[in-house]
Amino acid sequence: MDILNHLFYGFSIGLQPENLLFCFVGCLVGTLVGVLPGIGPIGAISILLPVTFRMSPVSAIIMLAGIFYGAMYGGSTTSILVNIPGEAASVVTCLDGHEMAKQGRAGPALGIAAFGSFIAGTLGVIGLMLFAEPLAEFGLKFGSPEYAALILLGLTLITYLSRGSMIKALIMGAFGLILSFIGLDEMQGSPRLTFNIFRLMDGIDLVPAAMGLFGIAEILGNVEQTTTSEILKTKIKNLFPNRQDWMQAKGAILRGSVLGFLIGVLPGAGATISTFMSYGLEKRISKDPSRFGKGAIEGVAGPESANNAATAGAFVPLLTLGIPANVIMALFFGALVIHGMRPGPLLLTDHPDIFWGLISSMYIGNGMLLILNLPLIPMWVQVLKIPNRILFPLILLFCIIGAYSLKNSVFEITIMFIFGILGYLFRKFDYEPAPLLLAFVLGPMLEYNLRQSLMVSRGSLLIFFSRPISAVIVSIAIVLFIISFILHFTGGKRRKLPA
Amino acid sequence: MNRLDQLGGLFWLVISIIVCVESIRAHIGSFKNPGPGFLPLCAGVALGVFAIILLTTSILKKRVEGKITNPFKGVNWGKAILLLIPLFAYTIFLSWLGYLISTFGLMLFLFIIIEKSRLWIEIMIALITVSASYIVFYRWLGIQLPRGIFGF
Repeated sequence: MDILNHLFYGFSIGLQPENLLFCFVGCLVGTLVGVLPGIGPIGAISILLPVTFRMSPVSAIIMLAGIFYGAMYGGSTTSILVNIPGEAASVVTCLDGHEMAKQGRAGPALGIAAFGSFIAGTLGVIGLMLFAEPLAEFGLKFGSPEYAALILLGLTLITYLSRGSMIKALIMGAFGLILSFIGLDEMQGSPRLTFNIFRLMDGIDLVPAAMGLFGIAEILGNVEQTTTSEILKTKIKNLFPNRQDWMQAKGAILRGSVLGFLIGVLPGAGATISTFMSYGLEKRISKDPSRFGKGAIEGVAGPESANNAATAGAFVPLLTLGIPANVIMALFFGALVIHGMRPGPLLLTDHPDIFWGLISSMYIGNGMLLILNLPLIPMWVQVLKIPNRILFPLILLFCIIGAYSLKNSVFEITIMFIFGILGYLFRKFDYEPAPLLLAFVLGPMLEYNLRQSLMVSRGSLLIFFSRPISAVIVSIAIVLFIISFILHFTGGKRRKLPA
Repeated sequence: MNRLDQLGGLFWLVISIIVCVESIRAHIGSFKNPGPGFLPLCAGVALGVFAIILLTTSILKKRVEGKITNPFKGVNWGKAILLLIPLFAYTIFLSWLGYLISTFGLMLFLFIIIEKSRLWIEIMIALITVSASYIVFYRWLGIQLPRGIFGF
């Protein structure tokens, strides 16, 4: 009953005209960035973060969340019709979605992607609602050693689950930590790593760093591409999947929802990984795996459901423990801090409006997205025709104004451009920027909790092993770290064999 | 893994040495009472260790694979570099010329660089973009934008 009361309270916030409007704007922008290849939800959220400074905290979080889950809906449209993923979590949808489109079944592919997303999104929100309170209560038992251990685990997991080289992910994590330490030390107020540059005393802000790494770098990467995308010229009909489609897809939707939610909760994982796992699972349990890659509807339904459920799952560690599970959650963490809130176990009791308002908005937003993504498909197809020569300068302009408005300073724009170049080069040399940004956000928290723990224990590292929760978490982190290294070296040996 | 990774390893090693030196300068304290440089030093050392691993594995693997891939091959990277020039010029001129003039110049340049079309169309689009952004961000949202020496 308590949950129902909270939910009604949440709807009383979510249904306020102002919040409804921002929820709609978020869903609209999210679908737009999902549809448009070249800019994803990370870039869009970092670009729009400064715009939210003038909003109420609830409206800001509702809008940013709308962008996040809206992008998951929109990404499928480009994957199915153009065979280019609108964003990373829709890569897998290309495999069977575009095949379906080529067979004249673009309608059912788009339809099942939207319905699957809606069902999974709703189930994910239910999961978030049910898991959050018990986990927040558990989080109240956490002290500095537990938080330090949890952050270490999060950083280990993001490098462990990285798509590319593990050692490069670790380098990015360490570099992200170093960047987060630039400026005045919070405990003693003395400067470090500032190289006598006065402007660096305040440290580097999250927003220009994120906009540079994910907005500017994305544009630089796209500008140099010489290939052009072609929209499949097919008539989109039968958006409502037929009975047979539903029979084939229903299991995939449910499995994708559960898998996506659980993977979303894991620090370091997220929507993209959940789609690959869902696709693999569907292919493995299918009676005829050879259908996959040739237009199997389960290959669209499973991953599209998984990425939407993962968005809800990702909020669990952020809102209950104050630990961002991925880069987007790191941006949400930044947004909450900027609005004067501390994400963590006390958020539910101190700011129930944020938590329950967000939950209710996610129910409402999923409904809005279903409407935005089915009848309005022809409009999104037109959006795909916006030429890059108009789109990229506009994105750059948004970035510039966003960065400048932070402190009314040109220095922030310079920082953004520098991070843009870094992000471009990182992509070129196969370094993932995600561990960098996550470490950048978690760095100050890690430092505070680690130093506190060491001071309390009078310099003994055993404090992390003498408390049961931190002992378990640190042990998992150490085991994962060792496994990562073993895999790195044995993986190298395996690659050597064929040569 | 290739020669670029070896260069990358060296680059990160240099960065780690700089960070370690700066951290020691900032006072590292002790385990009992960690100073401002304590965690930066730990991160710097970790970066150095990872850089050495990257360097050594790339040297060892290169001997076996001998494969060098150029990330700039097959793409028009010159266009990306060309894009950066007006962006950095913009940061220099923004405070001096003000938002309207410098952003109009930047937009026009970007429209031309990314995909050339008729000049008068580019000028019109740049003009509309700058005016619209000024109205939305400055007039409606109240965001302060630099005025420059001309006062607008």
